[in-house]
Amino acid sequence: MRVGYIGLGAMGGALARHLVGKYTLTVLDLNKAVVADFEALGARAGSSPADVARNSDLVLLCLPRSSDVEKVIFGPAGLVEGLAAGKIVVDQTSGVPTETRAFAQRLSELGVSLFDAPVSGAMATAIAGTISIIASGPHEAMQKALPVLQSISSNVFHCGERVGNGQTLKAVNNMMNACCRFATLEAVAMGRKYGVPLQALTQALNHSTGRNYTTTGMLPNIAEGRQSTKFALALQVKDMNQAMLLGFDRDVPLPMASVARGLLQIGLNTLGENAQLEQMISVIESMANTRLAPDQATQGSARA
Amino acid sequence: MNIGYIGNGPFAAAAVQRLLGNHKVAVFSPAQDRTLQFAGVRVAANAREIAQGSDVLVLCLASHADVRELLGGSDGLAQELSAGKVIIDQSPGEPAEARALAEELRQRGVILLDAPVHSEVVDAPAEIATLTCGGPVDAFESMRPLLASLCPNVVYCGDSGSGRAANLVVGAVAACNRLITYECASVGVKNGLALEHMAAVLNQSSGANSASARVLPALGERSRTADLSLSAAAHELKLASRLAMQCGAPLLFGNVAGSMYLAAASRFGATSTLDDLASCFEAAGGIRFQDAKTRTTVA
Repeated sequence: MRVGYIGLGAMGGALARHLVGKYTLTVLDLNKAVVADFEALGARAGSSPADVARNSDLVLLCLPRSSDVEKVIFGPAGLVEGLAAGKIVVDQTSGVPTETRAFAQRLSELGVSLFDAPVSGAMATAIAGTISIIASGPHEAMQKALPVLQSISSNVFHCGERVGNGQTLKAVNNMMNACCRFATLEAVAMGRKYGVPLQALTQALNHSTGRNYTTTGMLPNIAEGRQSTKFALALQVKDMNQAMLLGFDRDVPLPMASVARGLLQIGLNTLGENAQLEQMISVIESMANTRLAPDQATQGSARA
Repeated sequence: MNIGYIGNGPFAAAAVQRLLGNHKVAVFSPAQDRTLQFAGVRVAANAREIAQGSDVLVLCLASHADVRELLGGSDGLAQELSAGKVIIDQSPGEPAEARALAEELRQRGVILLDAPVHSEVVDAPAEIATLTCGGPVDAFESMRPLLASLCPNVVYCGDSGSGRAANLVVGAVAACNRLITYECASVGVKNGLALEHMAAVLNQSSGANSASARVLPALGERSRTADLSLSAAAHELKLASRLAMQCGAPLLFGNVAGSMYLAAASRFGATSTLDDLASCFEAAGGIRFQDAKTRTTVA
């Protein structure tokens, strides 16, 4: 099978890297240096989306947003000019499910299947080939694309035949992660301000129904002085907004997500547009006027 | 060691049952709760009888006011306690109240450990029940085996009140985990996702939490995941909100969670448990979780 990959950014590049040497690979990106790296590894550089489509049976996309996907597929020298019946497009963009479904609908008139397969997980897992790929789409196209997806990662989930479900589920996961993260940090800040050691709080949380991804990951890292996340705060705000719109567009009340989004926005406005998610720890600390990390000298106690 | 257990309710009964394996236990239930009367338990006629015959007194009452009434009220149990006795208090309450009571008792030579257990289920497996303890560290160490028989996970948190403070932190995070899980599940269901897919993916991803692991797989059938009553949980969240006020912490999520638990407790009444929260989200989102267990529709 001939495979094309368009969008070799940090994530797309790490994903496409797994296809080198396994498939006849054509790549495309605005960044010439990255394309040259792939060429050096044996991939072919495409001249346009149409050219990639002509030279591939399956084309994967990993772009910043759904509007970019639309441009690559339907814009000048777009994929459609090189696609033919039976070919498959896999969208790995963290896009908007309704827009992705509309793209799939338009392409189906050409006999082309498009489905979404966004990824969820840290960059390290993308490089290791274990990142979660959350795919959704028609069974037949999925079966054909599965070996390619499994070359990218050993963790492929197929969550239904409805295109866009993968993107919805990824957005829901982002929202769940952010809400639990800040609900945990603010409660731990209260416990720390009272004077309970961070290690005691972490141990108690991890043996209770308070356990979550943050209590098992970020809290021990704070205690050890290690960084937990490497993600731009502005992107987290974008993801959170996108997830909340999925709720609002269908009239689902979102009390917890509203608090999380508000906090993230305050953080971004306070820290500046280049801030990292990790810096939110200091925002939570200053909001409570305490420190989460163990403080050997003075236990940081402010008794009620 | 002779243990005197004074308490009410299913969590107290489960604690008595766990103690019975290793200790001689006498019980007294102020609310006349007969579920504490297991075979092998001596049932005391009143609190004084318990206090006189026990080396350690364990309390598991609904509130700190109940503890105060028991110890200092007309029954005057505190008068009966001789120096050297230890009280292990599992009742919910403010950390500051535990500190004040510990100081009063200390002057009579009686040691108080605040040692609430956080658990949503009576027969909780070890990984989801934790006892947080505050009080003098030497007393904690000497009581550690007994505390471990009450709950396998025991965490020492510092001097008097710290056990309650840590318990309130855990309670706030646990409540948020559950509410966040229902809220996110509502968004997913309303957007066409199946609960089975959400459970499979979310529990392997960064959204994973204790509630997503236990509640998502049970939501379609509305199977039991909790015995804890909404009113008891709402009471604990109110205590967390008060602690936030006292020590000057914002507790944005925790306060919202407290209000939501309180609203649900009022709506569903005394017999409701945390699992009834699902109905609130169904009504709010106009969905039925049972219709979203699996989905085969292709759109």
